[in-house]
Parts: sequence; structure tokens; C-alpha cells
Amino acid sequence: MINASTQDAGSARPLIAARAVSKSFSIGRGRTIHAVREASFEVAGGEIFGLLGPNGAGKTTLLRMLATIITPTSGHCEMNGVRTDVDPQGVRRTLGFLSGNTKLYQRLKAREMLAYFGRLYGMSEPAIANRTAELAELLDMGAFLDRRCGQLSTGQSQKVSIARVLLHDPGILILDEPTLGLDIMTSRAILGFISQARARGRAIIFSTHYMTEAELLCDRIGFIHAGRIMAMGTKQELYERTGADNLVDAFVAMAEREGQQAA
Amino acid sequence: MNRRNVLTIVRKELLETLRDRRTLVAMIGIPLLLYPALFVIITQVVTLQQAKMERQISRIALHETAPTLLRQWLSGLEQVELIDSADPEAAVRLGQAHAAVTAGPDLPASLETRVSGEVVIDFDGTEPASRHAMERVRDALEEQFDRILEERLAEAGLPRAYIEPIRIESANIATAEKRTGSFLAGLLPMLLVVMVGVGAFYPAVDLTAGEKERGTFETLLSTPTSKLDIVTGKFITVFALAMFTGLLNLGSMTLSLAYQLVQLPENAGASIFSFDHVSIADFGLILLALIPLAFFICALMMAIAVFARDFKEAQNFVTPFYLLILVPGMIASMPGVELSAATELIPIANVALLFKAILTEKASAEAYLTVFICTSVYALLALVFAAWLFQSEQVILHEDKGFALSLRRDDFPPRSAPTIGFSLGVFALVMLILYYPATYFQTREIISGLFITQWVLMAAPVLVLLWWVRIDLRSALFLRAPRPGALLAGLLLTAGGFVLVVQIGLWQSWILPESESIKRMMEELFAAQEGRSLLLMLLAIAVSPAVCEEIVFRGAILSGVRTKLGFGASVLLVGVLFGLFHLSVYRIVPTAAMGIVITYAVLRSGSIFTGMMMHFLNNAIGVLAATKNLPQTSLDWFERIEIQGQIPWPALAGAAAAIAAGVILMERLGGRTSATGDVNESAAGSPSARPGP
Repeated sequence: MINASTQDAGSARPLIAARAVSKSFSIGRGRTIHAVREASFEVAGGEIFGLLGPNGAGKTTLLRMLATIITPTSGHCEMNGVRTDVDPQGVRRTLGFLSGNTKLYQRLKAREMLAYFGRLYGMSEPAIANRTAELAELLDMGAFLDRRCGQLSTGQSQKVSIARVLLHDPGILILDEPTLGLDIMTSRAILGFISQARARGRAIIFSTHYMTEAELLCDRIGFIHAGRIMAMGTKQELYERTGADNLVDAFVAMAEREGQQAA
Repeated sequence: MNRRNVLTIVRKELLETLRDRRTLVAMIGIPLLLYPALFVIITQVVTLQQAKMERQISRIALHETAPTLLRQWLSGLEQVELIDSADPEAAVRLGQAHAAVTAGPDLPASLETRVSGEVVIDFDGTEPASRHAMERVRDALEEQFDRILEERLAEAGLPRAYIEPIRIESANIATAEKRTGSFLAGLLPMLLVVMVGVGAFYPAVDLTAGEKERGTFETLLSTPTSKLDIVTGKFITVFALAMFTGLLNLGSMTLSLAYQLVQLPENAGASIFSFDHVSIADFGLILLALIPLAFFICALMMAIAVFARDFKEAQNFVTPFYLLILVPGMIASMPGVELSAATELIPIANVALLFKAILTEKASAEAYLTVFICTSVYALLALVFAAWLFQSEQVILHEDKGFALSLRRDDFPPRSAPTIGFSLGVFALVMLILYYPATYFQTREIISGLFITQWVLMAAPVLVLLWWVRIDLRSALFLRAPRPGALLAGLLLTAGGFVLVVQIGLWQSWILPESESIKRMMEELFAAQEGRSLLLMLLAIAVSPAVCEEIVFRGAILSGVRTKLGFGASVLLVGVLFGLFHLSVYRIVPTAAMGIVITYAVLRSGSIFTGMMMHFLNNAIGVLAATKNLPQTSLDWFERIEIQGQIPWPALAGAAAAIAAGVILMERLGGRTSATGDVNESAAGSPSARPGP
């Protein structure tokens, strides 16, 4: 298991790298969708990279490729220097992936579910127990740790999911819309954990279509639209390039510019 | 494979499944309660029915003029009421009486004179009450018969043996084991298939499509667990639950049946159904063979369920499969169907028949081994198939909402080639057409039937379909003029191919002798056409297929297949489909061979006209030979090789050389290779627009 402490966070080598990654799907009737086109970026330890774009822009596909769930049609991803297509198993040990809209095993207790994933990550039983206790305290889950997942509220479920992602203490976090559909309090709590993880040297990539969330949290932001990363940089850089003073306007300006180029 | 991971998955899946109330009820509750309840209800109903029947009064209609003697015989009977009627038979028909008894007026007289009198009982065999009434009357009359017989024998001073020259007794020497076996043999094979299916159904759906629906599959895939571990763990769980349910059902059924039999008076059933006679070893053998069967069913159910997006869809997919596997089980339960060299190979039916054979003491070790190995191989193939599906990210993450199912022409985007699914659909449609309407028209009149089949039933619907879904006919049907060189190559391929295909047919006849009836049919076909003009024959048998079958196979089917498969695989698949299309065991291999040659030529030359020419020449030579319109020397040659069963080697070498030359020429021409190679399509162009290798 690769912990952040064993990685030289902030050094030149990025923990997450996408190198001209593309993915296309055949959707029947001979048609093809190009979900992601030639995306390239890097995320270093201690950095939060926000992927912003409307629904259907290709955020989920891109994150799934990073998380080794699907393989790119061309290009490749590297996690901590290891190519995902060369050693997917090894890569998976180093990352925590929260898929969009994920649910839990309804008939398992929260604790059992965490233990299940802990075993699949190769953790020992005492390590699982310790880590579960730690996370329960951190995420304030003590009250519902021994309840079946089917009885939990949306916010409680998302906390269990976050605990599941953090369980094996991965150096890389890939989070697909972690705050979607959550109330303000839970959202804030979860955003709090994300910035804590950054402070501990993790490399984090997360997608959202809440611009304010990204504004608040991200060190760098990538605008993704129709499968293409249109622009990338810090908030300030994006503002300067578009003359906008907020991300929403910046995104709209970029999308329009892109549309004009295409036409 | 990581054993720890597999075990972790099995433990978790079992725990989760066993915590589901629905599953518990279906898996444990139903079998435990169903069989006792079933047997109790059946016995109660039967007992009630019998009691009711015995209490019921039978109304017997007699003709007003019936002899007093008859009335006397019947009047003393219990639960019988006599009624007078002008037309006793009508009284039964109208439901006024349960049975009618008619005797000739001379009944007393014939008894006096010691001859046979006649009594007729009318009853309605479909009415239990009427049958019961008939039995009551018959019993009473037989009593009188015996009494009168004894009187007559006494009168003549003869012993009873006088009228019983031979006493015939038949003794059933079947062992109790066999009798029990044959009772079980009819029931058990079917039940075991049903039960294993029931046990596998819910877990197979829940562990695949259910996990997909919950969105947890993706999470699972992001852990350092291989897909093989996941599919193995899930499979073991489904298999264990299916075996458990199967055994529980079997146990519960056996127990409640046995208990019911003990309850029966006088052990009436027990002597027939005694279970001591089916040995433990027999059950052991059955259980052993049940393992690969359950394996096979579970793997297939999982493979089918993983295709579905959610639980509900998976149920819709798996249910037809479940019903399908019941068919071989049912067939095996029929009397007279037994294990043979052929049935040993049929999946599911072979195991069901094996159970039957074991229970009736007919199973040989060899048959057992064959079925066991066969089923294990099927099971393995099914598991490999399921594991392969799990590797496919499209199948595993398949979650798009699907496309609105609109059949309006405007809703289809214009495309240069159909999809492979469309193409296989076209093939299925053509096969159905061939099986039903085409057979009808061709049996009415062969030549007009062939025309109707080719142009109206095949080419026209396929063209209309392609047009309807807005497929560019020019590119999908390869409607491009071939280069002269390609036609020359086609000629060489046809010449060589024809000879080789004849030889393949001859070789095939060693293993699979052509049936005499088919041969005679073909001869008669051509003999019947003697009066017809050769031109008509050529039009029906050479020109029409060359145009219509090419449009269907080398056009609609090939261009769709090519969008998904490589060059070689496309050629092979279309060739084989073309062989299957001829609906005859004897013609599959030779026509598939010719189909492969033609498909190759069309795909390489990029023109369907190459195929039409080759198809025409091939069929035309056949027609000319059959109608003896070829030069005498070549006819003699055909006859000679048919007798020898072997084409002379120099001729075969020549044919091979012609094919080689044709292929080399085709390959050198190259250029126009693919389905849509030089057609510029809109953005919605298909992936088929790639050059051939």
C-alpha cells in the first residue's frame, strides 16, 4: 500500500497523469460516441484538480479511465508513475475511487461493508478494525456503523462511501461528483475531508458541476466540454484568459469560443 | 486467481443473499412447505371425491316395457334409484339419468331356453357420476351372470373347470427397484432440472444485474481484485445456492412422499414406491451428475443476466431461458425417450435421461461417463462465456438508457452499412421465410415457387428493410462495377471452387451418405421439368439466386457483419450462414465452402457483381449438367467421378491452382477493398469505413 507519507508529495513527479487519453464507444446502429478526446493533464501530491463540465461532457468516462474501470481507446494514464494499462491491479491499490451515484450493499451493515472492501484491498482484520474506528470518529459515523446500509439516509450513505474510499489510505483520490444530491451540512463536511486529504499530501481529482464548490476548493481547474478539455489552469489564470470574474462566466466564455472555432 | 479474494466475495454474497427475506422464502420456505401441502391437498381432494361418489344416488333409467326380471335384479341395489322412461338413452343424454339399462323383451325367454340374453348399459364416459352408475349396474349384472352360470353348470352336472380350460395368470416380475425406479424416473429428471433452475435464478440475477443496478459493480472493479476473482466468487455463490435449493427440494419431496405413503391404508402404495430399493449408490450417482448440470445452468443464467441493465430486465431475459431448459427436461420425462449416442450429447436432456436410466437400472458406465464429460464440457464453455462477458466493459457498465424504440423512417440516421445485429436479424428473417411461405409456394409449383421465393419473399423485403432504416444501398450492397481483373479472378475462383466443392461433397458422402430419397427427389425435379425450356430453368435456378441471394448474403448480411468482424471472420461467418441457409444437412458443408469463396471475392473486389457472376456460373453449370445440356464428354466425366467417389488428383491440383491464381490476382488488384472504403459519409459514418487488412 502506498501512503502519502511514502511518496514525496509536491515533488516534480505527478501522482496522476493523463497522456492524450481518448475513449470512444460504439453505440449501435454503426454510430460512435467520442466521450473523451485527447485529454492530458497532471495532478501532483497535495493538489486538488477539479474537473468541471455539464452533464454528458465526459467527466465520468475520464475518471473511470483513471480508476482503471475502463481502458482508453488511445493514450494512457499513469498513477504514481505506473501505467494503468500495464499494472491495473497495482494501480488500484494506490487509489480510492468514488463513482458517481454509487450506492451501498443494502443488506450489509456499514461496518461489514467496510470490512468487505478492506479484505479486498488485502488489509488484515485488526487493521480493518482500527481503521474503521478511526474513520467512524473522523466522519462521525458511530451512530449508524452497525445499521444496515439500506436503512441509512443519503448523507449517511455518502459518509460510508467516503469511508470506503479512505479505508486503505490511498495516495490518490478520484471522486466523481462526491456532493451530488447531498444537503449543505453533509456537503460541507465532505468538502472538508477533501481539503484535509490535500493537507496530508494526497493527489485529488474530483468532478462536479457546482462551480462554487470548485471555486472554493480547487488548486487547478479543467473545463471539459463535449469530451475535450477546453482550458486548464488556476482560477486566476482562467479569469484572466476569459476576462470573467467567476467560473460560471469563464466556462460560458470558453464554451462559446470553442463553438466559434468549431464553426 | 486470488483465493482469498474469491473467498471474501463468496462469503459476502452468501451473507447478503441469505439476509434477503424474498430469497429465503423462495429457497427454503417454499420447498419445505410446498410438498407436504401439495400431498395433503391431493389426498384430501381424492378422499372427498370418493366419499362423495359413494354417497351419490345413481339414477338408472329403464324402458317402461323392461322385463320384470331386470327390474328385480336392479331393485335391491343400494344408492340406486330406478326411473321409467320412454327413451332411456335420451334420458342419459339429457342428464335425467346417470345410466340406462335396456334388455331385449326376450330376455326371460332366452334364459329359459339356455341361450344368451342381451343387456345394454348406456352411459356417458365423460361424466364421473355416469361412469360410477354404469359400474354399479355392471357389478349387479355380473353377480346375476355368475349365479345363472353356476345354476346351469349344476343342471348339466359339470364342474367349474369345464368352462375354464386354461387358467391364465400374468405375474409382474419387475423388481421392486425397477418399479420404484420407473415411477421416479418419470418424475425426477424434470423436477431436478426445475429445482436447480429455481435455485440459480434469483442469485444469478441479483449478483450480476442487481449489483449493476445498485452501481456497486464499479466500486468493486476499482478494488485490486481481478475480474476473474469477481466472476469466480459470484459463480461459486450462485452454484452453491442452486445445489442447495435443488437438494432441499429433492429432500423435502422425498420425505413428504414417503410420509404420505406410510399413512396410506394397507401400505397400498408402499409396496410399489418403497424407497429402500433405490440404492444409496444410485442417489450418489445422480448427485454427482447433478453437479455439472447445475454448473452449466448457473453459468448460462449468469451470462444472460449480466447483459441486463437492472434486476427487472435481467428477470425478463432469464425467464425465457428458464422455460427453454425445461423443454429437454420434459422430453426426457416422456416414456420411450432414452439415452442413445445422439441424446448423450444434448445438453440438459442428456443428464435428465441419465437419471432416468440410473433409476431404471439401464445406465452403463460408458453412458454415464459420456454424459458427465459432455455436460462438464458444456458447463466449462458456459463459464468461459460468462467470464468473457465480465471482461467486457461495455457489458459490465452498460447503463445507457437505450434508445427510444422508434420505427419511423425519419428516426433512423442515414448510414452506409447496417449493424451486425440488423444483419443477423435479416438472416433470421430469411430463414423463417424459407421455412414457411417459401416451402408452401415451392410445393405448389416448383419453378414459379422459386421465382416467388427469390424475388418476392427474399430480395424485396430485404431491400425494403434496408431502405426503411435509411442505409445507403450503393455502399451496403457493394453496388460498384468490378474491375475486369476482378471478374477474371472470380472466374478462376468459380472454376476451382466448383471442382473442390464437388470433391468436398464426395468426401462428405463417406461420413454422411446422401439419403436416397433426396437424390430421387432431385432427379424427379429435373425429370418433371423436361418439357420446360432451358432458359426458364436457368432463370429460376441460376439467375434469380445469383441476384437475390447475393443481395441478401453478400449485400445486407456481409456489410453488417463486416462492421464488427475482421476480414477473415466476416468471410467465414457469411460463408457458414450461406451454408445453413440451404436447410439441408447434406448441403451445409459444400455450400458453405462455395459461400466462403464468393464472400471472399465480393469483399476483396468491393463489388457484388463479382459474386453475382460467380454464383450464376456455379448454379448454371449445375443446371446444365443435370439437364444433360453439357458436351457428352464432360457429362461422362461427371458420371465417372460420381461412381469413383473421387475426382482425379490432377484435376484437383488444377482446381487448387485456379483458386490460388484467383486469390493472387484478387490480392494484387487490392484497392477497393472494404464495405464503404471510398464512400464519404456524414459524421454518422460507421466504423466499417476502415480499409481491409
